[in-house]
Amino acid sequence: MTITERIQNDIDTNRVMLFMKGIPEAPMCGFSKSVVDILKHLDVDFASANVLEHMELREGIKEFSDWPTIPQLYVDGKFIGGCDITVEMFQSGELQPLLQVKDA
Amino acid sequence: MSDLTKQIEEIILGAIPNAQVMVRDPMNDGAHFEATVISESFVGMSLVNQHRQVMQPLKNAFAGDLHALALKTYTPEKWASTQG
Repeated sequence: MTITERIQNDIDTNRVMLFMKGIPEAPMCGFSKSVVDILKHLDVDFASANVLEHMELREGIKEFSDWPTIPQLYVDGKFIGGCDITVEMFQSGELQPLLQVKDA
Repeated sequence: MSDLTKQIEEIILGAIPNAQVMVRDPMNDGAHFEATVISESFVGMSLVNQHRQVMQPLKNAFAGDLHALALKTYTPEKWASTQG
């Protein structure tokens, strides 16, 4: 499986997929932690991939999304954004309907 | 306004001519910038694509030298609603 196929498979098989540094229980970067905190706060089931364990994934996801930074959040196969955008959409209430959760 | 903030502003305006652009250097360190961009052309565009539209020309111009830019993009309507 190429890295592109692996990423495509991740976002196809997981409704909410987060590419991050570290794991949800122990994020290794404040920006990744912010996104994890929001998803946990909204009580959303999500899958994650730790780019720090996989250099090819770390570079591959940037190219795949045409987005230079990590974390990267995908919902329903669609790229939502990184930390800033996710936080902003959470605060404005735009994120909740995408995740199909009640306004928390 | 430092040269770099001015330069960032001009590059964004070059890419999105009808935009209202505000660039700040809040720590006065010439490295961490904040930009607010308001444009009619963002209407109907996802936030990711709004950010891409601003970041792409900057990426080309600075070739990775721009250390950090905290970006906020708004349609005129959304901007008006934040100013309530």
